[in-house]
Amino acid sequence: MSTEVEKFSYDDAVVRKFAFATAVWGVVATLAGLWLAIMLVRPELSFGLPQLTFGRLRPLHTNAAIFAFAGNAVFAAVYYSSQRLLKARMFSDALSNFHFWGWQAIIVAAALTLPFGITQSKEYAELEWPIDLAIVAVWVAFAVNFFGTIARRRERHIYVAIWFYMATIITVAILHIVNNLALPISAGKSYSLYAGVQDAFIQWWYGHNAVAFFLTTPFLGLMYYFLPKAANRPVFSYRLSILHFWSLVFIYIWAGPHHLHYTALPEWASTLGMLFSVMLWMPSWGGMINGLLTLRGAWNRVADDPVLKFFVVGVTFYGMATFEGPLLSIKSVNALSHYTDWTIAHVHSGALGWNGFMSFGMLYWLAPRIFQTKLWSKNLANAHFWFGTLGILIYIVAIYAAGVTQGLMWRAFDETGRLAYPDFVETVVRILPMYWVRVVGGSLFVSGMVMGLVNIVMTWRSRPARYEESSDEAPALGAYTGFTPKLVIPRYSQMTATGHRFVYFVEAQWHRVWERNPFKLALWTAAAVIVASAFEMVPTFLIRSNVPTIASVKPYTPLELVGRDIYVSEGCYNCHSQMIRPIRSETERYGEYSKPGEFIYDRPFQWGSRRIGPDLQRVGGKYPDLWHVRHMEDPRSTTPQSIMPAYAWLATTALDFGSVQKRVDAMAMLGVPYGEAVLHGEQLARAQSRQIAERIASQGGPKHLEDKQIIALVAYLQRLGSDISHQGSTK
Amino acid sequence: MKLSDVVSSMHLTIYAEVPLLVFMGIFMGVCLYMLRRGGDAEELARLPLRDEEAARRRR
Repeated sequence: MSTEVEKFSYDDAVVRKFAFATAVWGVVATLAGLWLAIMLVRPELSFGLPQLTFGRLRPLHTNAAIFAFAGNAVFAAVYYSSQRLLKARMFSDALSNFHFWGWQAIIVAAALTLPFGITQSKEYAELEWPIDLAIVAVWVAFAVNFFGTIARRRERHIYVAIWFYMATIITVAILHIVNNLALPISAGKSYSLYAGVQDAFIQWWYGHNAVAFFLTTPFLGLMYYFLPKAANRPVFSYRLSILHFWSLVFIYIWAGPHHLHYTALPEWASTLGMLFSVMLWMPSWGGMINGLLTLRGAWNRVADDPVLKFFVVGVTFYGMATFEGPLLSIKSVNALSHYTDWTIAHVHSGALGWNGFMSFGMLYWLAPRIFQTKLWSKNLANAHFWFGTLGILIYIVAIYAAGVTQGLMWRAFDETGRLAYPDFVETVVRILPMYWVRVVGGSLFVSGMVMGLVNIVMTWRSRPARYEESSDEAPALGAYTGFTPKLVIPRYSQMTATGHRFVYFVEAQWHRVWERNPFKLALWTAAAVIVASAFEMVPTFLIRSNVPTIASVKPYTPLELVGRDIYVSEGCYNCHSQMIRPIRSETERYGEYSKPGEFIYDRPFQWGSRRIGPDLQRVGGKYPDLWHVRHMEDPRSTTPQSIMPAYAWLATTALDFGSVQKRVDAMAMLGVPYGEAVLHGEQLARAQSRQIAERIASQGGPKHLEDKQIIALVAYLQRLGSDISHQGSTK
Repeated sequence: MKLSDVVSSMHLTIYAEVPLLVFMGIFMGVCLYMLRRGGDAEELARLPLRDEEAARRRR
């Protein structure tokens, strides 16, 4: 056993890079969000350019906020704290650099593809398959580097922050791979391996757990390391932190279906999602209280220290968001809140308050240490804090009000029993003042982010000519001499061997061993996630009664399929749902509620998660073809108060008939019974486009549209939700 | 016969309740363990602060 003290250094260069990237992408992500907020009230600011529409830019904002801003913050936290907690330099500097540059390249690739309509249209998983593969490569490099560092550690006990990082690495890998399984047809287009209900289920299993394991667990790891450091006090209760960890791992993974209440998802899955979400209440609040009580005896410093200010408000927002999340998962609350801006307010209180403030608390704490100089301006950091806090509050209060207003107006009936606001646009106009207030709040928050970036850059500029290497010393990890619980069964004992085993189990002495054994910790984390996921997925995929087929529901024609791909590419799901819930106000407004069997050919599903515009599930046949042409050309020509951007280029851009057959073949390969279309996809598409173009011309519309994209989109929209009206039989 | 035929005919009416009970049981177990755990937690909670404590000692 070696007890010789070893000297070693930490790799802070990679931490500096990730810290910089966090500050830069934070400004980019929030600026994009501010631009989108302005476009919601002034849609003409897309300037008629496809790349600037809300549908294409919103995924850019969400991806930048989650993966660029929060992602880089997480990596900065992991690289700084893991080395110190494990008493070891990162396993490989080359892998650290590959991770950093690879991740930035992925972000740039997202920024270059999403505005051009290259998207899978799955929320927070929009990136197409080549970028998905790059993510896998970078994530594997990160995992090897992280677990390699654990293997080389000089600290026997693995601190709880490392557990949270470990859970993040394992679970994000599982989520990313399963949700992105797709059949590519070109470098920029693929079809999901899942269809309809299954696709929706998998997507929200992913979507919810991306929040859990990308925006929660690594930030809790960050909290459990940096908050004690900033407060110079140990965490209030280490026991509570362990409870916090396991309860998140065992419970969070189940909660995804609460995003799909009252949809065509089976009832049991939705109920399960709700129950587990409510169960999350206690451990989440336990974690928040643990964070805040860590400051016991240090509260007097909060007023003076911007780092602690950011952490206190960040942890408080964690508490607010994790109180509100379970609340929104309760079906009766969800019936009001779903598809409204209430969800947007909830998400922003979490993202800006929890992720944003924890990130900047960490950056302000890190900056003097990694740049080895004083923070450039404490006053500017304080100003950032107040601008940010005020910005979030103004933003969320306005959007909560907008969300509740929307929800109540959608479900309001007058004294005659009819919808009080039958025209959807009435409910849009009512909340526009709140959208302006959001712009004010967003501007304040962005101003704070810019201050943060300036402060980080100026601190960096006053760095020493040469960084002193950050070093430490510790004995190599030899045989552990401390207490290690073991299952010992004495030869002569009044208790049986089973009894001893029972005591060992009940006293959970095995857990003490796990805490020093990364392999077992990782294994059980993965097992919890996989078993929980399988319990939900297997019946959703294999019990047929969950998705009864409807005889009259047929595959999309080749032209409709191309039109659907245009709908996907334009990101229409960002504003329009295709899911009518079995709630009277919805069936009155939109028509017959949605059935699971209606979506069996939908790859990907397009149920959406919010209604900035009305639901489109039963729009097929509701208006003449010409109405759609006019509406896409200039939405205000058909609905004067509409806030939808114009899509005029669809009537001038050529339709790519050459790709039709490839699309049909891919769908046929995935099991869609295409019959004749497998041989004559292009001819069938051309024939249908001629019919529609003639109809539009006969209605007094423009002539010669038969080879334009608008025709395919009209074909798709006119088909939407119309199959069940042909006959009602099920088999 | 497909796997979906087998699973569909199993009539798993209490399927959803089983994991709820199992996972809730584990959750309660972890809670109990935390209440019973010995005193080394205090020491482990200081891990993030040890490098600064060591640096102070070295000074």
